[in-house]
Amino acid sequence: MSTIGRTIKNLMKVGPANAWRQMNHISDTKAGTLVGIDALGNKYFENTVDEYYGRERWVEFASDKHAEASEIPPEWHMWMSKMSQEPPTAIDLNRPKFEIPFTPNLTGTRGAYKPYNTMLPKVDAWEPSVKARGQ
Amino acid sequence: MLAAHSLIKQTPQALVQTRSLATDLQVNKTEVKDLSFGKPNNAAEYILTNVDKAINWARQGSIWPMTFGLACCAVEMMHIAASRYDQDRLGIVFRASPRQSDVMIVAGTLTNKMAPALRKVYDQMPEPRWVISMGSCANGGGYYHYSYAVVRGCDRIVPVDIYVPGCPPTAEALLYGVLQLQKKMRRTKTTTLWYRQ
Repeated sequence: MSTIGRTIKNLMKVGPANAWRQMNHISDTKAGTLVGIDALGNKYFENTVDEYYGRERWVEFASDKHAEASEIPPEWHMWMSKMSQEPPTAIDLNRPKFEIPFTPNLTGTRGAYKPYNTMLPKVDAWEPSVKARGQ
Repeated sequence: MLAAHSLIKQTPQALVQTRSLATDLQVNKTEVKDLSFGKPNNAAEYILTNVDKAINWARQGSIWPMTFGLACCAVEMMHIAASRYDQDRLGIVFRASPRQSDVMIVAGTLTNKMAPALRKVYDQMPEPRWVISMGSCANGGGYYHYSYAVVRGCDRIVPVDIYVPGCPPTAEALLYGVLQLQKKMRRTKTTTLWYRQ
């Protein structure tokens, strides 16, 4: 996928600090044009010239190394997965009033969903009463 | 069509302005924080949390799943081994033996007839072990929930760590489940908890 020449070429383009971060996060160096920044601070890049088809749009996450894809908001997911040619910053998204705020997947965090029961329990727990033995 | 390149000609200021367009999203930063290692209380915990991180790094980098393919989900499970999703880059290698595997991916409908075999295979796996329940049928019976021959969820037989929804889930969804499992492995505090006891 990546050659030494490509790695060094892109390192020259993005600078050592960015290249270090990229190598840690995606094990590759990538240079492209900044298309936009979302509310979480994730940066979206595009390079249609040097990258293979399917790899020409990518995101640099604002959070740590273990960022995951659910941190991409829906409108940018639309752009990343090529549902739209234009980035969401250039589209009238026509957001409905009732749209709820975006949250990434909170599984494994303090904010994870915890199910609860609103019904009365259908089963009564059995409380055993045992006579003392040996008497 | 407004090409992205015309945007680039604009100043970075224009890019930042676009942020306010999308800032109806409000994410509570404290909520997103992972349930990871807190601040170590003393020097021993400082060392042991780092030991734990090394252990977790090793575990999450070499997940060997026991393939428990029962139905059509197994085909999707095969897809993450294929070239597009390429599980090998995450260090995942299917291991058709419970003795050497870490994770059991229960892919498909668990029937009453198969349940003892599933439990036996799970018991043969060495600790630490994890279970990924893949697909509606393994999660809760799914389509066959009311069948007399089907276990209503494989969590009645084995403890499940990750539930992957879908009928069948895409290979992408299963891979995301594996990534969630890695996340879970990363917050395992093996030696720290031993020390705190």
